Amino acid sequence: MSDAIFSRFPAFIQEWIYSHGWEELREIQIAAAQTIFTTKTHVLLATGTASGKTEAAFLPALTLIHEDPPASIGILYISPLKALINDQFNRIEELLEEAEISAWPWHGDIPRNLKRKLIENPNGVLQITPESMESLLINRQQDLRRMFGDLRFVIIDEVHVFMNAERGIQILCQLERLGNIIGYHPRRIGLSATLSDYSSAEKWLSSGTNIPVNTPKVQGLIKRIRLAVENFIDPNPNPSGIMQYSEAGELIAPTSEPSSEPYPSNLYLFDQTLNRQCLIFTNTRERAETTINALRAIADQKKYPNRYYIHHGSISATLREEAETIMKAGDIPSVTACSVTLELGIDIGSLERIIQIGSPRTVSSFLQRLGRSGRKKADVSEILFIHSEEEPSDNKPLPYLIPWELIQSIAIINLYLEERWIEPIQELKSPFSLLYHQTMSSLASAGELSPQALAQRVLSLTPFQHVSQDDYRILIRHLIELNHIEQIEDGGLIIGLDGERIIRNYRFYAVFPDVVEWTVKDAEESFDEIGKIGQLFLPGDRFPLAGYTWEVKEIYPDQKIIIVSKVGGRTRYFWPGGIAPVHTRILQQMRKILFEDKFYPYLQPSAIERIQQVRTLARKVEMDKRVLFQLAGHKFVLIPWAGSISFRTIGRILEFHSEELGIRSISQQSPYFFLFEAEDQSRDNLELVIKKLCSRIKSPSELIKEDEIFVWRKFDQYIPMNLQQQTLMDDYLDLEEVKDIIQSW
Amino acid sequence: MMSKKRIPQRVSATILKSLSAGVVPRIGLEHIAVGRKEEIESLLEDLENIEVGSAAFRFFIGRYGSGKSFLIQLLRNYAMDRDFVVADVDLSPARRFIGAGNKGVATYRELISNMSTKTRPSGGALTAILEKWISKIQSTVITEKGIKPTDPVFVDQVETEIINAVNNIKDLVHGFDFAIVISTYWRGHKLGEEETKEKALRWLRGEYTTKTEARNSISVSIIVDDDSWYDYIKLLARFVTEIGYKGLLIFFDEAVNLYKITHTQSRTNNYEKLLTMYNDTMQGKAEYLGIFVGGTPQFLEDRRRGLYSYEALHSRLVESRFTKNGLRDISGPVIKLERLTLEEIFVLLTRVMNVHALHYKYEAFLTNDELQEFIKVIVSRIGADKLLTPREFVREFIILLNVLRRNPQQSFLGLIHGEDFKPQVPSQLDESVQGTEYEEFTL
Repeated sequence: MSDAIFSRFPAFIQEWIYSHGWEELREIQIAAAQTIFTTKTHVLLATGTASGKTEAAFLPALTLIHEDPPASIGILYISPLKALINDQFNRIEELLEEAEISAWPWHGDIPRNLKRKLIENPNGVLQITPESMESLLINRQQDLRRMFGDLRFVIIDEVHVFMNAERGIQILCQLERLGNIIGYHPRRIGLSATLSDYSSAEKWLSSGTNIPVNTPKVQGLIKRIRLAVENFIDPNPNPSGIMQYSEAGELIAPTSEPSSEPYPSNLYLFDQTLNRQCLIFTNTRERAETTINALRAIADQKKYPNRYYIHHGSISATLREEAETIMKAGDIPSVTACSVTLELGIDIGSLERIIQIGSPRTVSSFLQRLGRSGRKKADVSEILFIHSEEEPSDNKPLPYLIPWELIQSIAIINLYLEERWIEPIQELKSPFSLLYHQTMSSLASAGELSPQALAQRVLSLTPFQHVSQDDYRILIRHLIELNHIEQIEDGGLIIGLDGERIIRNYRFYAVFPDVVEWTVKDAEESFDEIGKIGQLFLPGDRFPLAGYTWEVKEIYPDQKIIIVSKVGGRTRYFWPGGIAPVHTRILQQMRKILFEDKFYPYLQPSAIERIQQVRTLARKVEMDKRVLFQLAGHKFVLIPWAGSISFRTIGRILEFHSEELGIRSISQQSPYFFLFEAEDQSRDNLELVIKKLCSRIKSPSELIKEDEIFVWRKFDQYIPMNLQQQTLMDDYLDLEEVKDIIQSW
Repeated sequence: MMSKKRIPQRVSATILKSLSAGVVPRIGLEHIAVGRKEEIESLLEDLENIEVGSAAFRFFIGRYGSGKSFLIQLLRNYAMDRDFVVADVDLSPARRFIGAGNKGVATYRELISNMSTKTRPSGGALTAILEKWISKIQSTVITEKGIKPTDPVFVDQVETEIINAVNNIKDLVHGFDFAIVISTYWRGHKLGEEETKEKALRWLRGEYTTKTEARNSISVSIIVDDDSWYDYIKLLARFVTEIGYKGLLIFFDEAVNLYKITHTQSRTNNYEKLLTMYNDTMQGKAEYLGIFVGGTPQFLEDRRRGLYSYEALHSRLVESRFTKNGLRDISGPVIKLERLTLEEIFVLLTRVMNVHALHYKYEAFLTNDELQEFIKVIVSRIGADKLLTPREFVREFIILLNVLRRNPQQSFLGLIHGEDFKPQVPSQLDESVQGTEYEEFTL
């Protein structure tokens, strides 16, 4: 079978395979080639990282466009990251040189003359991000048919990343718009990490095309996984040992400053990473900063060389590339801490060990991070979880005695190991922020459209199929009022003057929120850019960036530049930004873990001890039978075992009915617990009343204030209030799930 | 002033066909024109001035259906008859004065392609102009100098004349290169090399996209581009005058498309180009050239994104304080077109009816009362404001005349009061939405 596929490839591909010393085609590559050669459907390729998916898609696709060269761009490759594009470019460029097929990377950093060359003579493979694709749709309307008129394949990388995000919907809109322009829908090939449920990814991939999806079933590489989870008691790592988030899922910065002594967890991390090629994943940029800062301090003290690097979205491209290059070279072991930027498939060479600091938020993120280790075929994947918390002394209230993140890590690991469970896709029911974006983009692209034509172009896009014409009319009228859209004498709609300012800014192309950032430059290194921060500091202030602490020397408010120089010591800074919601399944698994007796083989000594301790506590207070617990005084804690969205819903129920319940001073640590005070109430009664209340609420509209403004997504600020509220009800609250959850209380 | 005189079948056919399709006929406009007496007189003065080497610039400003395009066609035809070279273009999202993707050159190309003369009234006159010029020089050499084409010095003599004409434009901006292109055409003619002629024509039509291409092809190191195309319009104006025409008239219709540009910088750039043209004509930097721009009041007067948002133009174009209160000054650059009055509509219908009758060879039979009734019905059905868009009701009217001609037993009044007569409000409905669920989507 492999031979048949191999001989189906043209000579230049065969030679490339030989010269790369491949002994055989991998299972996914054979299956993909077979499906692509013998069917006309879309194809979903879902396997673990480093299984050769990219080649699996490109080899047969290139074969077909080599045999029958298209009269325009032949392959459109969409990727979430510029870095991935550059990476892919290097990989396939060599492959294509022989075949005289060109690869055209297209993003903000690509010079204009190169882009012009492609526009004049469209051919080959276009590699692009969704943001640059949006720009192309808006600004190159007149060239699109020529550029893509004979497009054969759309290859979408990292489908699992897109599916759960607004960017994924953006891509679907773009592809449908492109299809409308060229008059047909080219085949799509989706590349994805392992998924729990292929049907939702297949549905996503075929959206708007009426073409079925083939997902070749492959065994995948059975890799050995080496897992370890350890727990530490650190002095004040951050209050209560867990991250704090607001209702919106925004991180709340702790007020305390870190101590200057290395923590036990840092020393352990230092030993575990010493002389090993490692990648450290953290949940926030802040944590990546403090971690590398601490490791450097220890190395300095112990007279070890500084081989510690940092990689996150606010670090300058130069520094990030430096880290990537050093990792890829791999000749001297190095350690790099990152937030999510290196979760995706950039080739960073072979890693000996992955470290996860704190608990991941989702199973899919865990798998993604795990997949970064041992990219070589036979390697073992190795991941070490390190948790740290404050001393759980007896005088602390109940919720602060529970190592939430440690338990969450165990829940995530077990859900995957025991059940192969991965979070399903959350489909957005009211994507109005995106509707605004696609409306403005479509109108900017067309120049002028009648209301009918605008409605037809935008509402007919599959992601908006549930939006009614009445709601759309409300939106358009609102946009005319805001002067984002203007209706001219003949009734046509064009972009209004205030709309112009928005769409002509490159920031418009992205649907994820951006923050105004200050560029940080190093006074001592010829003013090289170090990275960006989202807040102004004044001369004399200190903050961490790229793993060092800096003191502000000068500020230039007009250019948004801060000049700094390096100083010693540790300090904290929190970048604003949201995080993925935790699924209810994980919280329920956490509760179950508390009442199991076994110790999982991956738990290290301190973690075992800590789990034992918390299980004893859970049994003592009967956490399996109760969700409400009385603390000292009139204080109560409610532990609802609900994922982020249901947790938010319950929070609103408590808040909207606090008087009726007789509770006050409600505070929360999402998604773990609520704290509040209640006088003259028995625990048993209050728990019953809350349960009854939750099952009594009929509609999420009861959980919204009449004049509530809801602007969580980037363009929510431009949509009318009633549609904002609709978004909140449909996509950020889940009353149905809450009703299921209270059954398990 | 005209009506009863004979109209050639070809002309009446064109008139009726165009009007039924809702477009302004290219020819025969004088047979249906109504009103606009003052405006036309003023424009004829412009032509006289252009003829003697001056330049003119006018905006025709009116709402949809006020007859801007009609006036443009009328003037175009009149000028063509009087030996002007004329060229018109509808501005559009792809055709502007300047803009990414060579939108200015696209406008220029369309102008050249639509270039017309009395003998080539429907475009494509550039080659004819050049050929006619050469043969005219040849016959001058024969008749005035008495040199026969077989004489060995004949070609040299012709060439001398050609070079004289070309030399006169060399001093203008880009004149030198322009002269090389014209000489290249002549050389192609002289040597019987069609390919060489075609290269020169390609250059003149703005079809070379890179300087390298032009240099390799005809040894001219510049090309017509977004920044320079207007300079070549000025050169062409001089050139066509040099070779015997009275001047060049350029018409830009649908200028509202500049208003619709949703990029402030790009919009301003276009207005700036318009200002350049305006200033040139006013300051005597352009000769033998008339520029006419048709647009809506919004395009002109909107202070946020119209021409008046560009201060330099606003101050030049704003109406004189003495022209309020119904007094009109039509010597200024802006000619405002009011919609037709009910009386003028009546006259228009009468003319259309007469053209129809002449064309199909019957005696016009509708009475004045019946015409009045038609106007009344349309007013009551779709409102006076909409009625006054001649395009729609003239089309309806011709359809009725066609029905009556084929079905003589039907009565006009019966038809216009009948169920089937449903004059439509002019709509911008895109064909793409017809039959979809969005057809009825309105704000």
